[in-house]
Amino acid sequence: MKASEYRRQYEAQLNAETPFAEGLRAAGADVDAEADIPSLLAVATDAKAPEDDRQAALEQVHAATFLGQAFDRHRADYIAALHKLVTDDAPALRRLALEWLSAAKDDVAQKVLADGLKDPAKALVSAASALEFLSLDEHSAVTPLARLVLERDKDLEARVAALRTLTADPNAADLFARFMRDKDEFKEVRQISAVGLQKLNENLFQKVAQQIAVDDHDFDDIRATALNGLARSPIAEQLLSNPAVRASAKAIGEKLASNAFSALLSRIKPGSDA
Amino acid sequence: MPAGISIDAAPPAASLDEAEAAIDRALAAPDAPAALTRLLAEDAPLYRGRGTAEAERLRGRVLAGFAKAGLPPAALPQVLAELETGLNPLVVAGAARALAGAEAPPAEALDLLAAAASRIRSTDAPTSPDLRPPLGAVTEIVLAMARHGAPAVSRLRVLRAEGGWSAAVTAALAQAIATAEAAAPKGCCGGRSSTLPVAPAAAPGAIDDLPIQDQSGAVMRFADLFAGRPAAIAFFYTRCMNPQKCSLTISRLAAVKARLRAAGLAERAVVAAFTYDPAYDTPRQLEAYGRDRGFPFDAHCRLLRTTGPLDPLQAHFELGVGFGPATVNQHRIDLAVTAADGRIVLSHAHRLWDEAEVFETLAGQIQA
Repeated sequence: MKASEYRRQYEAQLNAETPFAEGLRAAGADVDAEADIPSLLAVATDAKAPEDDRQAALEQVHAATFLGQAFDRHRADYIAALHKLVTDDAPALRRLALEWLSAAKDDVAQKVLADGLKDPAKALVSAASALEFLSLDEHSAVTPLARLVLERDKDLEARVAALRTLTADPNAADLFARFMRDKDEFKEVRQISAVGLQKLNENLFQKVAQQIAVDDHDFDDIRATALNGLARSPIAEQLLSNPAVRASAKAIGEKLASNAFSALLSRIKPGSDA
Repeated sequence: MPAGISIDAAPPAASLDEAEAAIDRALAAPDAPAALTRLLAEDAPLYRGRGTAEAERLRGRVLAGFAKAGLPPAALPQVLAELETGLNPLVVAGAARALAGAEAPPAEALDLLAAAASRIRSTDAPTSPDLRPPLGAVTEIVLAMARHGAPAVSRLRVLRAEGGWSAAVTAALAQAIATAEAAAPKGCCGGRSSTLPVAPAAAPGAIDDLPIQDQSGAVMRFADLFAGRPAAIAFFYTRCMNPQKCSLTISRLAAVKARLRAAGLAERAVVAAFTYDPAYDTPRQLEAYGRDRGFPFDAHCRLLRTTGPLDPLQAHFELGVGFGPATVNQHRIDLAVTAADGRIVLSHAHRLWDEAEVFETLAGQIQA
């Protein structure tokens, strides 16, 4: 499609009843990077155009980033357009711009996201989304921000995102151990903490998980999480030889009737506790 | 959050504005070239505790400052290293701009600039808006090439022939070719830069008792592995995102080991690499990383980590590495060859090293 033709179509669509965005998405496969991308970027960054049209145009350009070398000549303009959209009034466009810039490890996006996490009044996306986007770069300074969210936010989604982020921080093992043990925490928080701890420090995980597995006063699903992790540990057979751990596994397995537990239960020989 | 749980939040780094103001102060100082050169150290306080993107933004600004302040010989290896292996457009553009401050940049700079333009073309981005004028990174490189005058013309034409450049880069190429053609031939030192860092004056035996662990989980003292044999010791980490640095380092170390083996010297020298990130790079990580790169593990060929902090190793080998909140935020290329008594006899920093040179140095030490 030639740029001039595209512009005519766009203007016609603005005056027509059929949504422009619908037509553009349907024509996605025909987008010609050489001719169309400048026009699509112009639409995406045009604050006066309908939001749906702008988003459709932006998605088309994003799809074209996979063209490889054919897109290279437009990349600087694409990044500049995304930078402009970071503070756009349309939340969906802001979110897309921040996500795609974050995937490219863009420092401007990372600064905006970090500023929003430090001061929620400046936030352009939710804390959970900000952490998710910052985590796309393993080398970003996201871990102190994740700790800040854990200190400050009660929101489950934000706390879960913060803990997911910290699974890449070798210094977070003690934190995960504390959350894993904490019976006042959300169930999801304790389960993610178990996964994070096992990734970062297998020995500490085994210690905490064994305590939880045989604790009759803890929740059954948390005990099941601990037991499942133990069953995947390098010393699973040795742990399953512990009568208390075996008894807990059998009792919880019967109570929860969990499929995920069947592999673990099958490793306990029938009658071995008789 | 329940009472009694501390999250142990690390103290935050100074704000980006404060850091940029510190660079501007260095640029305005009477000894600006030296002040900026100090800010190039990967472990400078300017970068401490920051993520890589932020650290690299600052590094790009420091490098660009040399265009105004003048580029001293001490900073040239860092500038050339960024052109040789850098991937961040801001940093590479800063390095290209820095060459404008050199009295006589080495001829190899032209080839490094051309290679850098091709390397970052798929990540080209506007340079920082506070660099005036703000240009695309590849455009910065093209303009830097034009400043070399007539010798740049053929390389610029090759770049133009590659095609597929943005309108801005295409225009810059045309302008650069015209500028370079019109320029009088420029006196320019030839060949590869001879500015190599001096080997660290580390005291042999100073870290003999340092506890270390290899990819199999075996724990030992530094001297248990290295005392009495010459060694090639490189540095890396498994989360490095630049294939021109850590990944290539391990592949090249494997090639050094192959040369030793072919010469019948495999048992008489140690080939090893230490991770910068010992908390994350567990034995399992090290083993997988080496295996994926054909690293020929044996008793004298290992990937290693310190079981405690990296500091003693960093000080001993004067490593150029800085850290963010969770991992490395920037590092240079570092390699040392040590003699059987632990003296450092060859040290490579910043630039890519040559496996033949490392092998020959080891062979020389074995036969000494």
